[in-house]
Amino acid sequence: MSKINLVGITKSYDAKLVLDNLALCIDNGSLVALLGPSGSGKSTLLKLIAGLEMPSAGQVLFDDCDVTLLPARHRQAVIVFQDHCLFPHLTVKENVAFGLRARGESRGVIDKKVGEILEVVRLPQRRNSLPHELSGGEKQRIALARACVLQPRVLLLDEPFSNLDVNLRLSMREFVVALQRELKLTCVLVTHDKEEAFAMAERVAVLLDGRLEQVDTPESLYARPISRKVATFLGDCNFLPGTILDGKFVCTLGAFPNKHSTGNGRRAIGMLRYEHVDLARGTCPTNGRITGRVFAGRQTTYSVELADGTMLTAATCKEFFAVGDGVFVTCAERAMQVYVD
Amino acid sequence: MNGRKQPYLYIAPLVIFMLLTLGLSLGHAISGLTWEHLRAVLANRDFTHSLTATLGVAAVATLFSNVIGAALAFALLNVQAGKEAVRRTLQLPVIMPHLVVTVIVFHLFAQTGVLARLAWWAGLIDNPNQFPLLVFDHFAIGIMLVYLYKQIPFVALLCTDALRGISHRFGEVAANLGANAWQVAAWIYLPLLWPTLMATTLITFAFAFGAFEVPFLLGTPAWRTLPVEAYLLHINIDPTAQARAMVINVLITGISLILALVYSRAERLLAHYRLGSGDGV
Amino acid sequence: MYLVAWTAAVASALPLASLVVLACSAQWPFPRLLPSVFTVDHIARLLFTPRLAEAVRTSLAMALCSTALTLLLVFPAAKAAGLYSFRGKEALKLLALLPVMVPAATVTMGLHYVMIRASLAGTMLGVVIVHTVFAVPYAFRILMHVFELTGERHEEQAAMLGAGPWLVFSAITLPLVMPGMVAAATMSFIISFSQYITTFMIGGGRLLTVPLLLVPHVQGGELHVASVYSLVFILTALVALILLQALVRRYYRETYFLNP
Repeated sequence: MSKINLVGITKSYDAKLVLDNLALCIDNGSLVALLGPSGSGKSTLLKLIAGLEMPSAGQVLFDDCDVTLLPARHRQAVIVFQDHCLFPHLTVKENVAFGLRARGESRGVIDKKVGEILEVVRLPQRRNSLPHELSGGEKQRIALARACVLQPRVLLLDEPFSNLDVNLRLSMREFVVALQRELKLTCVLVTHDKEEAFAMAERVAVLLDGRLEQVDTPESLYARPISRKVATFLGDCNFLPGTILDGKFVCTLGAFPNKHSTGNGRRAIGMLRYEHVDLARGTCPTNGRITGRVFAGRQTTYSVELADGTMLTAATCKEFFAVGDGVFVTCAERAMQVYVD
Repeated sequence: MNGRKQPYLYIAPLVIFMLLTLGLSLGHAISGLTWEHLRAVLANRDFTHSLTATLGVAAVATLFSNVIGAALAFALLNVQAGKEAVRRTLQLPVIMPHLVVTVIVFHLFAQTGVLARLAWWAGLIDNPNQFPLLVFDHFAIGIMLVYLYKQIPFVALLCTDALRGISHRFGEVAANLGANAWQVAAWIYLPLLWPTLMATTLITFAFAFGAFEVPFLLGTPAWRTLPVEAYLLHINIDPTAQARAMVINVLITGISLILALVYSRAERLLAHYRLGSGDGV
Repeated sequence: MYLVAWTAAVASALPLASLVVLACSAQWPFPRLLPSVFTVDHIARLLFTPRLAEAVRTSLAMALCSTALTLLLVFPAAKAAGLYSFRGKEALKLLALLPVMVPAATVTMGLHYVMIRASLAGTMLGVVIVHTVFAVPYAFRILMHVFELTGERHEEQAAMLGAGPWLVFSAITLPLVMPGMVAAATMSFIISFSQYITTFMIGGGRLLTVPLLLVPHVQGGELHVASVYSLVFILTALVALILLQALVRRYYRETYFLNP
């Protein structure tokens, strides 16, 4: 269980820049999610922390100790991969015991620790099975057991649940969070799934095109994405063009207070989440019309066309509208996030 | 991992070994090369006859074994029951040493062999000399039979494996679009099989071209294949003969190197195809 | 189609059957369809000779040494070629491939001179070296393919779990590529066992192997003897290989390749 510090991390492969001057601090015993689309360099960053790759520039620090040049086998940073990578020729017991065996622990200690961790992951009955006899979820739990039994300084999870089906994914998420809390492990979770990152992590780091765009709590990140790029990545939002006038952001939906009080007349973009678009039944003056409707169970998504032609998307479960209905579109003042170019 | 410099360390023992053995052997042969010997060899009628005959035998054997082998592989595509058993039996000729196959061919096809006896029994011939000369004959039929026995299964097995790697979804889609069995085979599978066939053609040709034991034992006294010719010159004490042997060996090596280069190109195509087809869809 | 398949299968197996029949005959004059004397006595006479015993021993020793040498040379190279990409990889593959394309007799004639100079002519080591040259392409191809399939994920994982290089090799790498090793070893063994002209030329007639024992009888047309020796040839190789595979299986559980 260590505090991890990444300073100025840059990584290039054959003149292609994969990670650009990253700095990240992960507190001891905390779970941080690394969120980003495929190809943003997340897995590379994990490998850098684990010591499987070396950075082109920068430092990796465990508890303020420079481990940048330390090879993987001395770092005690274990990655659990998407495809679990259990050794196919060893039984579950032998798989889990592997790291302890490498350390030279005695037979008795190994058996005891393996027994304990198998209880924690609730698979003691599988100790003599071979990996190919296990289900997907069981394999993933054993892979976790194999890593956790070593009490690693940091546990690294590389999209570990992508291969599992939805219900299993949810229960595994809870399981991992509980495990991490119980063992007080420093944990870095890599994922492209926003829901997963928000549900599991104490802090979320958004990695786009090799740069860390924002590191924040899930709530802050969701409510106040720092830039248009991050907002676009997090998705499910509308963008409204407008201008800054007299300290307010003015657009089709009205004037909104914002922190960019400077720059009178500057162009700006307002970001409004789907669920923050309020639709009221149009007996009073309407400023919009429903043009499309998609029912998705938990909520219904509506396409709304405003009087001036702007298209908005709204999501709600409260009211039911039909295509063609007139609506009155508003939003709360605080819901509008403004970005200046 | 951090194996940037390491590959060269890992491959060094093998590279050194191969370069030493092959390099020294070739180097020695080349060092003894002179223009006069080269000209003498090329002018020698025995040599030219031997060269053309060897190429001819190799070409014919290669053609037949690849065509029949590929056809056999296609036939096996449509066989369901007992496919595994047939595959197992086909592995037998591949494993059998060619010396043993030589013995068998001799036994079956010689003028006093099993086929000749069957012919006598059927009343077709009266004495052994009437049975056509199939072994030790001018057209190297016995030799080719040995090659065919070993190479048809070899090609068939390799093609079967390759075809298995090609997703049968392609065939289903093609059939869905209205193609009959022949069209599917010719337009879908055959082109996808092409790199494998290129590889097998080269291997079988190289083997037939360079084989020693089989033509040595079953060849006619009238002419010898090139490797045998080189050998007979090599064991001749006369230094001129030995020099000629070296020339022939260098020429053989040259031809083989060209074959090897073509083969490695085919291998690269094969890798490209392997990644592209049969994506397990 | 079934007809074709079954014809092929029968055509493959029948010749071997005829060989067995031949071996069991002492006299088989033309034009009889079946041997006039069906006996196994002469087989016993042929089998229990010191010459045959020596030939079998030498063949086995050569094949084992050659296989060992081949695997030692090929394993690291195949691992590097299967896992990493580096400059000169194509050249390496071509180099490893050459002995398949260049005729054995030709290479051996050139090597003959080299061996004489190096005082290796007529020695076991010299012959083993030559056998290895011809086994390398097949072993290399098989092992490289196996490494390409397994990848180095497992080794990376093992390293992260704290394993040192020896533990990674013995507990992870070796077991996972063992099927490939067995296949490569089998090919090397068969190739070495079947060598004739190489053993003859380099061995200088001093080393007697089963093929060397066999060939003169073929040249002399003595098929009865030749057939018995052929069967000995096949059976010895088969028994040796079965033993090898059984031994390996005892120490290594069957591995299961993950299908990616």
